[in-house]
Amino acid sequence: MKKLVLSMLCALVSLSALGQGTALLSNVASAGSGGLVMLDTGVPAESDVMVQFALPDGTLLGTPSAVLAGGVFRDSTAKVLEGVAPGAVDLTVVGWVSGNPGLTGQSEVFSLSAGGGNPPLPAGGIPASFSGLTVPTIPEPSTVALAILGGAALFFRRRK
Amino acid sequence: MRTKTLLIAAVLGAAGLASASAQVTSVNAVGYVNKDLKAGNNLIANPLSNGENGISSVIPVAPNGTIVSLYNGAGYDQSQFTNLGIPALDGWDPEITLPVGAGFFINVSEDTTITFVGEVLQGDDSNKTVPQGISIQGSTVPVAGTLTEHGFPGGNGDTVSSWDAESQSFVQAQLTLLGIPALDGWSPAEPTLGVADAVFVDKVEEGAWDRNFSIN
Repeated sequence: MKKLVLSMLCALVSLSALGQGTALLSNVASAGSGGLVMLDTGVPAESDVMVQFALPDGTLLGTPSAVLAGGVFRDSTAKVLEGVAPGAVDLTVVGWVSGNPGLTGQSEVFSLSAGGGNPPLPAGGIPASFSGLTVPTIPEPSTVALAILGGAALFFRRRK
Repeated sequence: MRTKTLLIAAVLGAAGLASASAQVTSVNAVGYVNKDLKAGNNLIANPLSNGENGISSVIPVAPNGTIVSLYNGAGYDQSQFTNLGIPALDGWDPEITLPVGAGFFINVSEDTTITFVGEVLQGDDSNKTVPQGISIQGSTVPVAGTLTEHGFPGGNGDTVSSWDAESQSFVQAQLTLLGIPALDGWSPAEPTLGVADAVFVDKVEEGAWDRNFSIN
């Protein structure tokens, strides 16, 4: 009886997975032509930067992956895009410095063919035309201090 | 998946007939391939040429209700096999073509084995073009090996999706050729292509898959 219930649960999980679109979170195809993850300081992102699929309105989809090196990200495990049906879909990639998910950069919108369905299609990949994205960095403490000092100086000057 | 391949010793030689100096001018290899299928979807390719390669001659017998799905660039063209003992209904409908090396999904209701019979393609006939974008590709010859061993024209960013019939799911791999040693190569591993197996390929750029295969 337990086996039967377990089998039915597995079948349901499989069916629900078939109904969700899937995509590969990788910019390898575009990396040679500049479609990289860059920091706002002008250097390619490294492994302390996370990326994730998102809808054009910024709603995050799937799970994040870390940049590997040199602004390149490549996760061979297909991401399940919750609420997205298999077929053509408009997406973006969002990136942030690890530990600071509130400060994100977002790519331009691109289209890919989400995998899934029956007969299934494989998870779609980010197109070679992907133009990359720029991730904002957390300001250095000294930069923040300078900004505060500057603000204070302006304040006192206006009071005089 | 266990694949038993037997190329039978029916080698037909066109011997010199006109004069004593005339020699063999061509050798054709004819054989068969048994392909084991799991219940559910299987991603396979026709490994042998059977003339026109119509589905009725390539797969003359299959379990009742078997469905073959050919990817057309946007979705699937499908054909279903009826085996009810009713001559007016039995057979494949519609009749479609399964070119050698072109892959397709075949969905069977139970574990079964199908047999391909035909000629091994050689020379230019074993060469083909892999288009840009998504397509299903199989080897044009009944040989197993890695994609490199098959001479697959891999390029940076190409994605290959193999089908695991046991788990009924894809296993994907991507080729990186960016000149970054730590990243370059197939990730997570180079795919293999068994006899009569097929894979989904997402090519960044069109490529020539030249086998120039010879049976000799």
